[in-house]
Amino acid sequence: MRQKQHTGQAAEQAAFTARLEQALPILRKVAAAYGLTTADRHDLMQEIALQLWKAWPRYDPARAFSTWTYRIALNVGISHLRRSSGARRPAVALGELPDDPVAGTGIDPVLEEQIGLLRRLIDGSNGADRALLVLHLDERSHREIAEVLGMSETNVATRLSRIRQRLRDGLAVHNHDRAAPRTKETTQ
Amino acid sequence: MTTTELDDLREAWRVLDRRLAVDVELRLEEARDRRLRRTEATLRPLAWGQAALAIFGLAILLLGASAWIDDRGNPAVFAAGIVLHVYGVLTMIAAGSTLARIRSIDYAAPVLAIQARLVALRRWYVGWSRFVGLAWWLLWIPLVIALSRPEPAPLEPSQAAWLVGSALFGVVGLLVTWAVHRWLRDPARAELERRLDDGAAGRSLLRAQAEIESLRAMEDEHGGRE
Repeated sequence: MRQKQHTGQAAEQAAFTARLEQALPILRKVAAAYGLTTADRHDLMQEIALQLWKAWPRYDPARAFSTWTYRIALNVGISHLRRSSGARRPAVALGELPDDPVAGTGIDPVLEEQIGLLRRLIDGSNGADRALLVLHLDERSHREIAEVLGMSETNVATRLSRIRQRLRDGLAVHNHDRAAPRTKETTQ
Repeated sequence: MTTTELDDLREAWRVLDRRLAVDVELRLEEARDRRLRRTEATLRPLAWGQAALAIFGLAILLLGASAWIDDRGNPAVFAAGIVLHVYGVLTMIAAGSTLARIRSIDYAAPVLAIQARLVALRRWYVGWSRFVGLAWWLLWIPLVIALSRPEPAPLEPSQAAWLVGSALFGVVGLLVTWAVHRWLRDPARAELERRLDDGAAGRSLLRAQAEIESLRAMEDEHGGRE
């Protein structure tokens, strides 16, 4: 009886491990969006994996695994961000630390600038908007995003358009700031 | 950069993900190295124990050899010397073989391969240490005979009775041990058997196995690795 139980548990664990392997990119992306430092991102990935394992017995195979994973991972990410903000931890973004392995090599300046822009956009967003960004950048449809976040498709579109506007505004300020010293130099 | 739309940032997002994937892999590699070093360290007490056991085997061998070489005329002492000699040789071989098995573990191999080596080491160690231990139900008799030299040469009737009584006691002890072993084989007592087996394996091997098991779990969590 006990042996049967043990075998059942081992099979369950193996099934979960196989699924978790598929879900790894999702865990990474959520950790990238909600983690503050490299170590923080790793801790977050562990935390997400743990919560997925706890929720695994309630997973309904009839539903998409990625949707289920995203829902749990993003909830963990949002809670993590809330806790981190409460503790007033320094917000060190991806690509900003010189010893950060995720930092860029600077080979492609345009790409590096885009990465910087993306980081600023993520860091300036609240937990819910980060979730929206992660899903949108991961090329999920509005329908899927709505299902994961539990909101209507219209709401998804509205929120995304607000994020787009924020990006344009941020970019305008950025371009203005960059242009200003050049103008000053020319007039002098 | 004058115009960038949200969709243009997808490539940047993919690059960030790739960089994080590399970072995760590097961290995993570091953690793996750390755990493997710990596994190696936890096996060190077992290796020292085996070295000590080999020395003990050598001492028994020398005692046995001196007994059967010096007292060939006394059948009891001669037989006791031969038994001790053989036991000493077997103990040294077993300890040496365990040491060789510990040293031959390749920590650069995949975790599953290391795990298999540890299981094989444990099976071998628990198996022969039972033999080494159980032999003492009877082995103390030749030991006492060898150590009591140069006492009375031929055995006196009282001593012969003692010898037979001790041998009987040892045989009964062995039979009881065997019966307990059989009793434990019942699946209902699997937990008790496992605990006794863990006890026989010793803390060093158990900790090494726990380290490797946690490493395997960590690798599973990060999508496996071969």
